[in-house]
Amino acid sequence: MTDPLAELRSRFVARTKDRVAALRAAVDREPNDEEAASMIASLAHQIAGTAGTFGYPALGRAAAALEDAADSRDGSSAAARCELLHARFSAVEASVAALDEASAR
Amino acid sequence: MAIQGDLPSFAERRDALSKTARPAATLTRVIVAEDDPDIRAVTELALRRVGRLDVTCCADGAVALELTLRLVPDLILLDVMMPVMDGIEVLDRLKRMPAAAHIPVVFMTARVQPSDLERYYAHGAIAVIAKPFDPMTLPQQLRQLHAEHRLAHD
Repeated sequence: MTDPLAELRSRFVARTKDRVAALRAAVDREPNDEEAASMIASLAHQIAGTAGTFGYPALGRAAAALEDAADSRDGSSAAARCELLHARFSAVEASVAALDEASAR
Repeated sequence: MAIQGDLPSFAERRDALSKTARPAATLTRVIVAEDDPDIRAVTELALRRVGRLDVTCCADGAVALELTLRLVPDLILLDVMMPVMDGIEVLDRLKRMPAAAHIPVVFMTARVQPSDLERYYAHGAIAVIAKPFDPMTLPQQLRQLHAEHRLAHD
């Protein structure tokens, strides 16, 4: 029987990949800019609200921490937390790839 | 006027309103308003497939209001932060509509600090589901909240 969540999960991973890339670009470019901080908070909020529901609580917590840093306009913390978020997302990608490989056998 | 014959009589309208003016006996129809496409999809899947509920989804609060007036659901699950009209505004408007004020509203949100929760309940939400949530247990949670709300109004 196929996992009904599998397709939704792969869509979530693809969308999150784009969001994490946009976050890293925004943090690298203008970590203290007001407009960029709002965008960072908004993107991080989306990941924070979604990741745990798909079974990735560590990714969600990393996103929530980044959202907090962006909300308090703390550019240096945002940069560090964005890198942690990226690391957490890389782990998610690796686990999804391993699952896909195992189910393809 | 010809159109008058098609309009419901006062008695029919009064009966229809009395039928909808209290919570439904069981949870059957749910409207979900959530702008994140992933959360919307997983919520719909869980409520439909696991909960066997009649689910209608939308991505913003203004559409949620329209759907509510058209479908008169048993419960509304509302995201707080949405484009066009946020969840708080939707709830405020619903509470001012006689045909919809009785419909229980549950918020789902990642913002669940005590001050946030106080605000949601002050506006009339019956419960708050914190994101992230477990999609597999969501239907049961909603049934329980609906049943408790129904009991409180009996």
